[in-house]
Amino acid sequence: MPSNTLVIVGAGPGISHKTAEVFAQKGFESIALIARNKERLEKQAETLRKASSSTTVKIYTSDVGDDETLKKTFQQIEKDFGPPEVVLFNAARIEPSEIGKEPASSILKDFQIMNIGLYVTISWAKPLLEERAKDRKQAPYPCMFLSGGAVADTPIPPVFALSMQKV
Amino acid sequence: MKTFDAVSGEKGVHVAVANIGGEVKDEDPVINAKNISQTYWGLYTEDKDSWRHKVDIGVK
Repeated sequence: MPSNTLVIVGAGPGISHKTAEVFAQKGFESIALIARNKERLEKQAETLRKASSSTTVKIYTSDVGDDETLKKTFQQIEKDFGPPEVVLFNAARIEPSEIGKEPASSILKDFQIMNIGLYVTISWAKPLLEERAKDRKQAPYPCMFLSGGAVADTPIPPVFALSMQKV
Repeated sequence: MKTFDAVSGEKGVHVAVANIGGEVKDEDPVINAKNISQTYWGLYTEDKDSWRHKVDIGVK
């Protein structure tokens, strides 16, 4: 079976780092981490390599809200690793925000990340995941996951902007 | 994501959302990175007839 790659869009030190660790330890051969902060990505990649020496980890610097750069990033990942087995969309801006005080420009930025970024991700991943799924007769199946938030239904006022990002 | 599921689910792609009910903290018994990461692994290995598409994690 062609090797398994996990792609994390919006890789951070929390959920996605642990998820990468789990998938690496369970035998995923490759992990692609996408985020803006190169230094932090490098540190995370190092930790992952130490946790699983047989896993190849590559980092890609991109603002998830920048659709042109993100598209190019996905093309590079496909060149480096081939089609993904699992894509995790994990990006979000979680910062204190007060309703009425948050500028429209930052809400718009959030929309870029959460809607356009997600759309660009799905546009890229869809045909690749479908192709991998074609002859799969039993679990596991190729996946796309979203780190979503119940905050869309049950808001947390100190981070109100987050509820506009989450489904 | 639901549209993606509607279109690609029948083609064998498992689309799912982790519905996280609060701030992710190591000290939280449910809403912690370890639990969420294991949820993702569980979703990955799920049989088609048990596919979950939305998993509540610490939702009140």
